[in-house]
Amino acid sequence: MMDSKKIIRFALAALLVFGLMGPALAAEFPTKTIKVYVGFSPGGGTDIIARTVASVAPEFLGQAMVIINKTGAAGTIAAREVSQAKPDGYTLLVAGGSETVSVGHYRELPYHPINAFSPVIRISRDRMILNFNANAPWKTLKEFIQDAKRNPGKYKYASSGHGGIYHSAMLAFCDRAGIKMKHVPYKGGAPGMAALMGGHVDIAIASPSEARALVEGGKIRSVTLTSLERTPLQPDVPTLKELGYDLYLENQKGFVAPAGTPKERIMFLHEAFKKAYEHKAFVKLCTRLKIERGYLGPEDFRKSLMGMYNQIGSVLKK
Amino acid sequence: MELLIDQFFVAIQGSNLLVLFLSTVAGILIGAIPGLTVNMAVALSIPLTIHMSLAQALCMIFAIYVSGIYGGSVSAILVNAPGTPAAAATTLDGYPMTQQGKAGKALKMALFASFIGGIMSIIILVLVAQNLAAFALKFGPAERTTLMVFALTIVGVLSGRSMIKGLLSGAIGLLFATVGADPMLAVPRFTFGMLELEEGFGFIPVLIGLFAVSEMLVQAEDRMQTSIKASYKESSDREEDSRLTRKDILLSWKTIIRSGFLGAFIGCLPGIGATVACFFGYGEAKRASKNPDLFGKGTVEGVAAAESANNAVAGATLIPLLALSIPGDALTAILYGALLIQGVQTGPLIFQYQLDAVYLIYITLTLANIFMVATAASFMSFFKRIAEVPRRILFPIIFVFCVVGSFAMRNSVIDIYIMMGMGVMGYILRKFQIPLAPLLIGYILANPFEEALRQALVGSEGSLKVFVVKPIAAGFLILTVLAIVFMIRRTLSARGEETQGGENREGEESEL
Amino acid sequence: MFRSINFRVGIFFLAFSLCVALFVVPTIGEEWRQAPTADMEYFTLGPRFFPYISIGIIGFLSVILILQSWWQHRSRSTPPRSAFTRDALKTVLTSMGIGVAYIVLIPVLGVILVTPLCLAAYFWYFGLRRWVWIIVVPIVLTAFIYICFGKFMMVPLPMGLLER
Repeated sequence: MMDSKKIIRFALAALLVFGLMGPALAAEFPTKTIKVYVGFSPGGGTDIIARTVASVAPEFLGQAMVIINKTGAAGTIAAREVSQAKPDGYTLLVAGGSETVSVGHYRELPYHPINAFSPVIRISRDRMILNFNANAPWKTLKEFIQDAKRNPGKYKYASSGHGGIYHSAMLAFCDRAGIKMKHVPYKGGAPGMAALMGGHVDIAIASPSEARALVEGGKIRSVTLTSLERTPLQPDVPTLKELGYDLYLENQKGFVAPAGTPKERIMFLHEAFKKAYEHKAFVKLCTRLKIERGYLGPEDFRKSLMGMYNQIGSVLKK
Repeated sequence: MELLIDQFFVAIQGSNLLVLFLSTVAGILIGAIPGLTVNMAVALSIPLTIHMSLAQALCMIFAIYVSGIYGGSVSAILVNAPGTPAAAATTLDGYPMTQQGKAGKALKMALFASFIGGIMSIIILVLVAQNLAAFALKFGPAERTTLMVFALTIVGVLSGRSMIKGLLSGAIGLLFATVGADPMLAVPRFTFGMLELEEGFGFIPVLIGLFAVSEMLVQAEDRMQTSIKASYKESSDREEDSRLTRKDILLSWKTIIRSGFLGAFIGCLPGIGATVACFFGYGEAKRASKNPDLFGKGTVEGVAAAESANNAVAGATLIPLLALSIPGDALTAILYGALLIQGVQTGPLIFQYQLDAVYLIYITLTLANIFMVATAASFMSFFKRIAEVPRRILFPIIFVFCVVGSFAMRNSVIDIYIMMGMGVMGYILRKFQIPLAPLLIGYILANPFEEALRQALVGSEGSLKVFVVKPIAAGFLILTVLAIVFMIRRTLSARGEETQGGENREGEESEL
Repeated sequence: MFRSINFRVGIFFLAFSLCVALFVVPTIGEEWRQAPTADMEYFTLGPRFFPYISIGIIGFLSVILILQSWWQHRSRSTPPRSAFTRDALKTVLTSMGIGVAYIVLIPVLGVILVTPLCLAAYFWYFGLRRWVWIIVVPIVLTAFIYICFGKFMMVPLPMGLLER
């Protein structure tokens, strides 16, 4: 046990150290809370990613993170807000999904979905997986495609909304496979899955984390995913590439800052988030939440976003 | 069985009970303050649950959820400002009761009905979760469309004296709901380029504006010199008016049970929700009641109907979540995340592999209901006193909370303007004797109705046949026709009576 | 007849529905018909369908309302009701005015600054004159709102001038 003198000396030393460090730190970045905008409601997939990162990252940032849910218009309200924010690194957006790569192709947006932002880090890659009802007559995707070719417009698919990334993925799939299907938009992924189980649509596209429990429970069958390699969440589902269709679309999630944010600050944030990303607690949470971690650095993240943006654009322009 | 008992002892550990108690208090307060909603509170509590045990996490979430829904009815009854959307129908009779000095009775009935509704939904959840989930899946676009058509007949039921004005009000609600991105193609309608409006007006700002703000303006007419109770001519101070008598319970027990079933039914259909449920319960109660004319003027039956239905939703929304891993609303989506954090995977297999978690859910949900009753009962005398606060103090404070609360919903200033606009409009409509309840129902039902209708028509390529061939859909259509026939007959007979004894009712507007 | 409430309501909503149908609904884009996606041909109802339906109902009902008031006028004379006195109108408009000023000032000055002012204005207007009501209570309540919403629920309240 320390005696009281030691305690006082220690406290004085600590005070001195912090007193000296205070001003030095203030000149650096970050000196205040970092705001993270989320374009979707609390509890959704995007929000969960922001909150799990925020539960670990402040340790490495040296500042708190506050999550601001600015919902509406498929995440574009939050994206516009961040695109217009001061590029000082204190305002970030969780981006990479519909608002970044998809919605801009369907309508005019008040910001450029890619160029208005400066990517910081990619945290997760949520795949998009195509599912049949468990009792569907087709054993494989091939059988379905043949059937659909004979009956253009007969079969229906559910998506989480018009112009979203899932809708784009289905359009791209139909384009590559040379088939025609009807689109039935639902509000979010879950109602679409319910419609698939109830037999009201023939295909529903969802993320593996949504689909897995139902696949294991024998309610639905996952047939393929729009990716280049298989997902560890459902390793026995073949990718479209394996089946001979060239399509690579993923619902990525990561942090972006407004364009024009100083490079050092981006790199600082990147380092801090990367440490959080590798932290044991974060890895454990991701495993439990069925989030597929998928790190990419600032440049790779931008390239990846750009690639997907252009890919969707090329499908829609046909 | 043994497992159930084991889980019971897991659930009633001291720390869990403390969490339950604190969350219940927080839930009631959050629910009662307009604008602080249960969803926000639960979402914010998720990071806390990371470090908790499963039992603790469930205690916390369910306690906030269940008591939050009750808390919403407190402000609905006392000041006409529904604290949560689910309490919208509670205002219709709860607030008139407060004006008549029966706030205590209304609050106690709300609590009693909430508890019974909540327990009923738990029983249904325990007994028939899997069957009901399979049934809910049968509700495709066609079935939903006809269900919504049937629900829209409630507009007629709630129209009050003038059917035409009631229907007009409902149609205004439909029109308002079309503001925003259209549910199928996301084409912006009436947004004039504002991204904020694409989500529509938002339910909370509309609700708070129409009810709470317009109420403040009505109250301002006499400069609010007294309390709510004292401002009303026929208010009473009899002791029995603040108690729940045996007569009240005898009058409403059927209503409570019916609403409980309706709430549970609506709750198990993903994506419809507690607000629709409470109006459904209210409308059906009025239809079935022996004295439907008392509805809307402060009958204890009306409070019971709305509250039983909205609390019955709580347990029932867990049915699609547990059995099919389908979160039916924003709140169950948050709960889904919280369960995942705890390592509980919902879905068809949960009843095989994680039965302990399922039992724990049942038990904590029951405990949450019990704690809600105990805690709310001890708050009762405090709540009642709010009706005695002078209005000139009460209403400005409520107004400020409404403003900040509307902002907090989406962190958007536009929502405040919407709320104020709705308040002014609600006031004008009230001055023209246009009832507001039908407007709200139209507003709530319009989007799910349009979505389902257009989804159904995409599937059928424009043919209306789908609504007749599918048995459930056809059933709802028949119910709708019956409801309309019933309504016409009642208005005709009411008019017949009027022409017989109509001489002394000079000047009263009596229309179809 | 012209002074009965129902007649006025009917006329107003008839005019309203006509205006909306003729001038506002056509602002809803029809570009979706030429949209590049391949699946458009299966949509039978466009985004304009539902607005038109609800406006149609409103217009129809207001015509009935007008006819009804005309018919009632002939069958028996409904005395016009004066909705409320001038005095009441004045207080209602003032309350509205304070409310509107409050919400307009929020984004400019921030919730923390305007809320006590708004409360004090209301209290003063409704006849509370003691300084407890004009100063102490508004400040305490604002602090409560700040803690409740800003700190506890982590709502990013608009801070206006106090923004860091």
